[in-house]
Amino acid sequence: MKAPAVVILAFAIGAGPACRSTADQVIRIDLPGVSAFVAGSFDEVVVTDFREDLPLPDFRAGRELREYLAAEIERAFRGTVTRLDAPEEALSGGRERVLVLAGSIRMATAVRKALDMKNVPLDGPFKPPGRGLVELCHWTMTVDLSVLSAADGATLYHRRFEEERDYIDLEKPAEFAFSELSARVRGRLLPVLLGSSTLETRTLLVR
Amino acid sequence: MRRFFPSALAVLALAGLAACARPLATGALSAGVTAARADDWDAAVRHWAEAVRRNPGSAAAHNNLAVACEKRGDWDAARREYEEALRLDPGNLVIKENFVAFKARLEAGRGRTP
Repeated sequence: MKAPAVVILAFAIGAGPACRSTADQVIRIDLPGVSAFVAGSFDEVVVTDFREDLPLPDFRAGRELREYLAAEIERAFRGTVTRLDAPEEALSGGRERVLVLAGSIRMATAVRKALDMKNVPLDGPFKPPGRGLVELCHWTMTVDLSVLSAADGATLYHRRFEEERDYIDLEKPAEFAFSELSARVRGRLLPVLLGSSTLETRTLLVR
Repeated sequence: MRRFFPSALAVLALAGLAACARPLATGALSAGVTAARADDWDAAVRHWAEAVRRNPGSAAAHNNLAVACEKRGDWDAARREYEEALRLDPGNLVIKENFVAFKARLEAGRGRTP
């Protein structure tokens, strides 16, 4: 074997591993939630009664919302969750690393007429046309929610949640509407407050 | 033939060393990826930090460290690592895509304050 051939062979053997093809690695990873608040910047959440703009006769929506949100936050938050009647109680101490949830709630109901394709009540011996006006019980929940810093009372976050739902049952009680509508508020509030993890795609490089 | 044998061996050794220089860093990168796939992100970070130590100009290592920082929820560190990776390799589309996805997610989570 001649010298040039040896050199070329040696180069090929040596360079081969260095030039081997290695593909980028696409992975799916569960990333922690991104909160509207800096992670780890608070270790207590105080939930206060929500002021009722339109009190209902037999249902204390403000207290119920406080209890519901506090319980849901407790399930997802590692720190302390405290329930208080009024935000002033939490703000008076000037405590650091404490968030205060406060605001107001308004639940209202009205009977509305709507065109329904299927649920028209039979009236008379003839086959109904299959559609007609029906009366629906329309519930609306409006929650004005603020997140305050207990240290200085500053408003860190504010949002108005408006949820509504129609019910065929005209006597649908406030408790029932509350449980459905408050769950929607919770679904939109908690990711902002605590962050919710999501499955994301990222690419790792190997060379 | 015998005259050329020592020189051929020397060339072979040099080529081998040259070939090994890069895999030392890429080996750490690969080991990190394997660890990440096994959900052992602490080990992955150790491997990628080692890759950066061996080759500070490795955009790939900084990219991977950025992903690890995202996994830990350390958004500031992730941003720094992505920016460093792009500074080292501005044309790398993979790093750009990762960084865009990172920023979009961060803005979606934080951008709703009043």
